[in-house]
Amino acid sequence: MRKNFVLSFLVVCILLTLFASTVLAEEEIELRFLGMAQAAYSEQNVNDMTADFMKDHPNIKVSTEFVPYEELRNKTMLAYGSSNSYDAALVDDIWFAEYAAKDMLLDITADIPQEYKDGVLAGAWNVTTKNGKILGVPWFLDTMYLFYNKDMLSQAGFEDTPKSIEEMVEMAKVLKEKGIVEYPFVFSMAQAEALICVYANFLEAYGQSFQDAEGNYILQDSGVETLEFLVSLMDEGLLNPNSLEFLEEDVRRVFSSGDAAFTLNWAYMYALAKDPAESSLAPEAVGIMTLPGKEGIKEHAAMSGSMGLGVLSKSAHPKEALEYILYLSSKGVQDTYSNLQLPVWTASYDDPQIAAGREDMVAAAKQAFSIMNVRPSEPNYQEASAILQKNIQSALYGDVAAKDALVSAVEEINQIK
Amino acid sequence: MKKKFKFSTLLKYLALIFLFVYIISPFLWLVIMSISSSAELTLKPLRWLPEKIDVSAFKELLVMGLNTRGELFLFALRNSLITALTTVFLSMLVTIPAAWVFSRYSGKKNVILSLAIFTFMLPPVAYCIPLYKMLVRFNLMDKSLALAVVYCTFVLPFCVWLIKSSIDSIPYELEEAAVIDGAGFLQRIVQIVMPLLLPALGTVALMSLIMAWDEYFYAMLFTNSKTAITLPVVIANLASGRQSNYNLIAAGGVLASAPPVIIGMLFQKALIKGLVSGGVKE
Amino acid sequence: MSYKKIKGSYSFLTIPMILIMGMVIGWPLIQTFIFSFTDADLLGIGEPNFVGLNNFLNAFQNRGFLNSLRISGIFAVVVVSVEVILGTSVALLVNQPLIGSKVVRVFLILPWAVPTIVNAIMWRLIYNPEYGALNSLLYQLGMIDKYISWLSSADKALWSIIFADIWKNFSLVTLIVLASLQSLPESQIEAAKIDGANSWQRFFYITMPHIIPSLQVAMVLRIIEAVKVFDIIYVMTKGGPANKTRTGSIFIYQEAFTNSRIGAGSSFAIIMVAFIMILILFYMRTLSQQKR
Repeated sequence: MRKNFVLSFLVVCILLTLFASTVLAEEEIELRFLGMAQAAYSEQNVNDMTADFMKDHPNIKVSTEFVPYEELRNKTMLAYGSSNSYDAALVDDIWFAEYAAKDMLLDITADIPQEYKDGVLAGAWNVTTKNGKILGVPWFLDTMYLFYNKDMLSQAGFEDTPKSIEEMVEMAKVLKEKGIVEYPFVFSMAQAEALICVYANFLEAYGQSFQDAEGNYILQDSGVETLEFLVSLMDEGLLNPNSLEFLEEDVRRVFSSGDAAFTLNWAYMYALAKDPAESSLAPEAVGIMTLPGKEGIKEHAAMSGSMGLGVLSKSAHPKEALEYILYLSSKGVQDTYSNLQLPVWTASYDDPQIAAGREDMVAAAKQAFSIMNVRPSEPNYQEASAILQKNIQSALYGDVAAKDALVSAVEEINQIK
Repeated sequence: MKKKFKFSTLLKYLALIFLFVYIISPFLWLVIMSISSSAELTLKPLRWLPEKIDVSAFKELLVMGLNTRGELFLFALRNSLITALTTVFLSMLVTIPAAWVFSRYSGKKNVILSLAIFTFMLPPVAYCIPLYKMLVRFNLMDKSLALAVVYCTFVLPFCVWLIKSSIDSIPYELEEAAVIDGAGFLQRIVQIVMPLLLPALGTVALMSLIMAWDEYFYAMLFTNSKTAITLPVVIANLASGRQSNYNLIAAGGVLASAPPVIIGMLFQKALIKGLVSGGVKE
Repeated sequence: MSYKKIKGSYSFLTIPMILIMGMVIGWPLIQTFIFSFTDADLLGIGEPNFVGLNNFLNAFQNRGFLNSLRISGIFAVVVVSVEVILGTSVALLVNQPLIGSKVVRVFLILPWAVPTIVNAIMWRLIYNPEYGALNSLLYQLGMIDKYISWLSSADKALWSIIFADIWKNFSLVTLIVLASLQSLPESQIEAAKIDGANSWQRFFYITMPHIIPSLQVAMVLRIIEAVKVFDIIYVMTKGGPANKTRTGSIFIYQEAFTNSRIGAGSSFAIIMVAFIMILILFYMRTLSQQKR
């Protein structure tokens, strides 16, 4: 009895789903988009954009899903491996090479409208182009900017911004001595990609790089000075020790509560640090600039943390998916939602409306985009990064010397290659 | 008997109070966080009671709307219920007859127990890869029913173990009489064993329900979207690195804890008795 | 056993269960075993090659893996011993006829009923180095003069997680022991009292032997859970800082799903299964020796 009931119930259920899916397929196209929770455009922003898109395209229904950055790559890959892949997804610049190697992204070189090719910042196309093929539409260009608390600096008698890394550290020492702030620096240095972003920005400021021209990691030589610098910040009590468990949002909280004078974070923090609902700082106290370089090496440094939108090659509706991501990155949409993230369109930077009230940020962005470098772009970057994270943290804890940490990191990376 | 004040009694009361505070305070703090405003939770040092009760976090999680947090949370609530109930139903359906056979006709009792313990002790990472590949091949990713079948990996052994030992304690003589009257196995199970087994079954069902509700690892791997994602995954994502609305995270935690905590408090005696009697038998 | 006389062949009733178990436990386990000798990839790109025992040989040279097993071991040993001692003491305490012990008993199930993920998140919030309740409390009580980083201090992270796990799981031990204590016949204790046994003697010769079987059940359950721990650590630290809380399960997950190396991941999983089996067998043997 019971079994029969269950069986018939199941059959009915299956029939209903089959029926529903065939009927719906003719009338409505369903797209699944995977985005990132927090940072960059907020979930709310993306959902509003999506709602507008659906208004214009009544036959397309887009369901958005948001996962934390740390899950984004694994989720994209796991879903891709299954038969229920996403149609479009957010792709970090460091993943394009890996996704390309696995043929996960649709080659959309031929489908990019001319206006996008001409209008979007050239640097942004570099992010989404691999081996001459365009695999994604740029969504935002970003870097870790140096945020500073103007009130604290003027309290300590500094009216100018730091011109070099050394000057910044001197300022931090004074701030600490005068008791203005206990830990002048706070960075996102949890065992995650955020740590590598912080490290990479300073590496850039020191004029060094991860790899040599042939793509061999050379950090055991090139990266030691940078790491020793970070360790010294920790040892001298200038860097908040909790940094080692912080991600970007934790850093934002600390900076916004007035517990740090300097920090590195993405552009999205600018608006939030000035928002009285999210921050206890006076809006005019929030300063932003590109990270200064090491004295005598360079003036400014920026390491890309940009992202693009891609169509997964398993999508059943590649045309509509492309239409959707082109819409998300169109100039109109990007200008409208530019509160947290600046547009990728060259023309937007000359638009006084976009820059209104945040001239400093737009100026910093312009400067950063002109000098921006990228983290290594290769299929097994993710694993190499995990190895680096562990070894860099070991050095920051003082378990091993900076040199030894990087020597063993490079050794381990060479093993997986 | 006259009671005299003793120093040891005082110590016992102190210990009891300490214990109570230890058990209650972390969860109580979670509840307080969930009704505080997010600004109050980033004060340094903290204020322990919110100035006024702020239920906006609960509202955000429980109000429906396309592509909102509320939608995801409510769908996850539904999926968690469906998955957990299906798991329990499925496990019961197949383990009751099997446990009956093991109890009545098995020569080697210990084999089943060892098998149950053996499968129970395997870490999920030992079979999640083939399970993933299997679900992918049969197009079963992101489906509540498939997840429920996967949950049988840890619920089934547990059920067999407890149900078998409960059947052991039902006197066989009752069935013997029925056999002489010509009863078949179905009548024996349904008419004789089941009525006596019901209390124990209730216990096992509740335990399994809580176990399935609690599961995170498989759900994280095998579900993506609101069609099948479960509460633990949604809450873990909510709380992951880049989110710092502490009151929202806390509200999610309170809501997800409510069902098992209420069930636990209501049926505490039955739950524990079932576990002990099942385990100690062997 | 009289029922053995009435033979019947009802083995077919076990078929549905065996089918399901075979499908979700047996078959995957065999697959994992096969994978462990190959270099299979997560997305199935390229045919997997047979690599013999290479994965296993590499595993035993992989410092990261061995270290993760060590951390699993430490976690399990500490967590289970504290939970057993604390759990039993609490059971003995609330079993006393004290005013209020009934109320405490009702709340004892609370920690165990809170889902693992919620427990992990709750403690992560409490441990938050800037806005967490623990730092604030200790500071306001004057016990610390500087906030402490619980989850990012290399020497505190694992212990902080262990503390969080104990909060949730000691109550299971307590509840099981308590149920067993309540089934202890009052008359036995009374008889011992009349024979002149003092309270320690009564505890060691009557109470302890009575609760030990239940305690063993609780211990087996907890050892198994603790050795394969994943959820609480994944949510609290993801294995950081500097891999100091990366347990075996986390390591294998990263190898298989983040680095997409299913072959190597499977061999690690097989080694871990062997490791757990040895542990349980060892435990069982000590038990049976004690019984003799």
